[in-house]
Amino acid sequence: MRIRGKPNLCGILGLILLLGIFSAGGARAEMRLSHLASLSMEVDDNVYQANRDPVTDVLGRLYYDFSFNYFPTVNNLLLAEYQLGGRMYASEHDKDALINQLQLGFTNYSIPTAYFGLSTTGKLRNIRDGQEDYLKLIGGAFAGKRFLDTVNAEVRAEYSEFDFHEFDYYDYVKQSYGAQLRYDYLRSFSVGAGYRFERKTYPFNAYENVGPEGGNVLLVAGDDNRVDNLHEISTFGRYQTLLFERNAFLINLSYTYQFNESNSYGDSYNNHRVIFGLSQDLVAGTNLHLLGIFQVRDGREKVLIPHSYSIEEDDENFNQVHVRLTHNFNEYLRLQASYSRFWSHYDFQRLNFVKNLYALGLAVSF
Amino acid sequence: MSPAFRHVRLLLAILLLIVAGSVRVAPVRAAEADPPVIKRLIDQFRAYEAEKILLDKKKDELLVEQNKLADEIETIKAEDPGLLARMRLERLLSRNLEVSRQLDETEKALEKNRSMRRELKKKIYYAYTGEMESTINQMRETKNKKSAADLARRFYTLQQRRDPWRISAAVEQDFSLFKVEIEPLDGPAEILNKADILDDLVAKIRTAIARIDQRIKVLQREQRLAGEMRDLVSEMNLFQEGVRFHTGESAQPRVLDPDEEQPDEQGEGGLHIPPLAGESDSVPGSDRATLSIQQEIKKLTEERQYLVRLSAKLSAKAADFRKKARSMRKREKPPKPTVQRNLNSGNKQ
Repeated sequence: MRIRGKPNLCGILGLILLLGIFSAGGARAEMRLSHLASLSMEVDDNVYQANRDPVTDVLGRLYYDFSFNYFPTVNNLLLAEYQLGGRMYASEHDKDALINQLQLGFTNYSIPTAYFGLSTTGKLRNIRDGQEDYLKLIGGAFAGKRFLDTVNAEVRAEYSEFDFHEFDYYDYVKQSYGAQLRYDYLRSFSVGAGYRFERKTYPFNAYENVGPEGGNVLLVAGDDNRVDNLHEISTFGRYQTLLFERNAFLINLSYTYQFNESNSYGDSYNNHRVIFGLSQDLVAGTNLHLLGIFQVRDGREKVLIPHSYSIEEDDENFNQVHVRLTHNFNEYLRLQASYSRFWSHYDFQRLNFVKNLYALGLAVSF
Repeated sequence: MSPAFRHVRLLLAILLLIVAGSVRVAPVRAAEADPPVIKRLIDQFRAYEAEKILLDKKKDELLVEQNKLADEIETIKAEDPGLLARMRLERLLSRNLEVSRQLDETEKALEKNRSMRRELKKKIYYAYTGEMESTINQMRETKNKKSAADLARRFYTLQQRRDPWRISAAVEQDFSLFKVEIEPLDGPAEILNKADILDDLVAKIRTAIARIDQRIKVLQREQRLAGEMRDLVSEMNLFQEGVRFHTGESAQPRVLDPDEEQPDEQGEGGLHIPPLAGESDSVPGSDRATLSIQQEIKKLTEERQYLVRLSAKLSAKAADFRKKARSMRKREKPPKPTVQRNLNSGNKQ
């Protein structure tokens, strides 16, 4: 599947945004710009995420984030965010990467205690060996309402297209609809829950098992395209405070349960994901951050299909941990040291890998 | 003790520390409450406002009825009425009279309501003013720097709350700057004493400003901490470091056969770790939190600006008092005896 030659939602959303910019004149305009650029030297002990004989290399990483918020009138917000990511290895140049991402959004607050808006994102990833390049486009609309100044209800709909450069097997078109309810107590405490339904359509036919029941699995391509219906329930909490009225402290916790029902044999699964984030202001200007993502995924059928990553037994684990220590020299410049670990834990041992990244860098924000 | 139990104890201790650390004394919130007298007056005002809405509605209904009656009366009059029509006309005229009477009463009630609201508004304004003066008096008397700073902030809060109750721009705004004025009989010593009082107030207001500065600094640290976490999530999502796509020759699904040679770990079984927080880069609730920190910083900055203006005004007034005291002293001093030296003293007269 190739995404070209047809009007897509992102184009339409972009047009609406432009119309919004030109129609929203007058009144009090306010603009906020922010830049963040970071450059770091890193050591990657498993460049190819291999199970055996990992290759270690040194790399330089660049990250740039430009954010533009514009209020043409008090009740209208236009925002644009551009992100650029690049990494270059000293020897393993095949894994050099360049990533561009642009997000545009519009939010209107004309109705008291309510808001609605549109957003669109385009992400282009290029890896030097050309085998993992992709383009992802997302367009969405959202609306929300606040009750009693503490409860926020939001509904969201998204449409996205994923175009993998190497071959079509990963391509998909996705529709997603979700609702979220959140309770905020001042700035310090938030708790909420949400539900999302996602429908992914792939440009190839679903597989059917035509083997005898209880016997060997025999897959053949069916007549219909593969379609996955995913139901997701999530709950999250956030607590931010000052310890002993002195040191800022922030904790985030979220749990997500996903239930994917696919018409293609081997692609149905359940997934549990826990995200844990903790930030602590240690001494003036020095902060510590810890971020962990832990997953347990159970594929329902014992089949290896590249797209769904279902491996032999009903047990898949993808985990990440990031620890970052920052020291702010002033309002603009900070030094940051990070350690990141990525690992998987399959029942199918040969696919497991562990990757560690050690980084030291400088970040400038203004 | 089992190691597991030790871990639970450690976890509990950490949680306790967090809770203990985050519990804050909240005297400021209590101090920000309106005094009962003002609260009562505001309640009365709200009641009159509710009554006004009802009266306006009643007036509108009566006007509509009156118009209807007038139309019908005109129609009957124009048609050379018979006996029945005349009887109906009489009924209509009498109802019209009644409606007019009710309209008059409603108008009077509305007028009374208007004057009551105006009166209450004035009372509320002056009640706040009185409360502000009493706060300043407390500030003058207190020796404790912390409570003086809290009182200065309360003074600002009262001033902010008083603002909407101002009846007209002509109403005095600064109410003679806390009754510290020069009386006609004041001598230089008294005036200097009053200047000292003002300087003392200025010192206390400056303490309050310093505390606000400290609070802003802490909030900025909190904002920075949340911002750094957001940057971390955003960066990780952009790079998706854990993502590995399957790019081997075969994109076809494969059934695993236990006897089959296991696939090469790099070629088969692509990995895809989803973005850290779904499709969105933000941590749930973080936008709201950032917004409220920004709002709080903005509020504190406005409060700070007001207190800076106030202390400048008081400082200027104290300086003015001292100047006046000096000039009075100069006037009061008897002229220095001047010794006239006769330059020609050596000359014989």
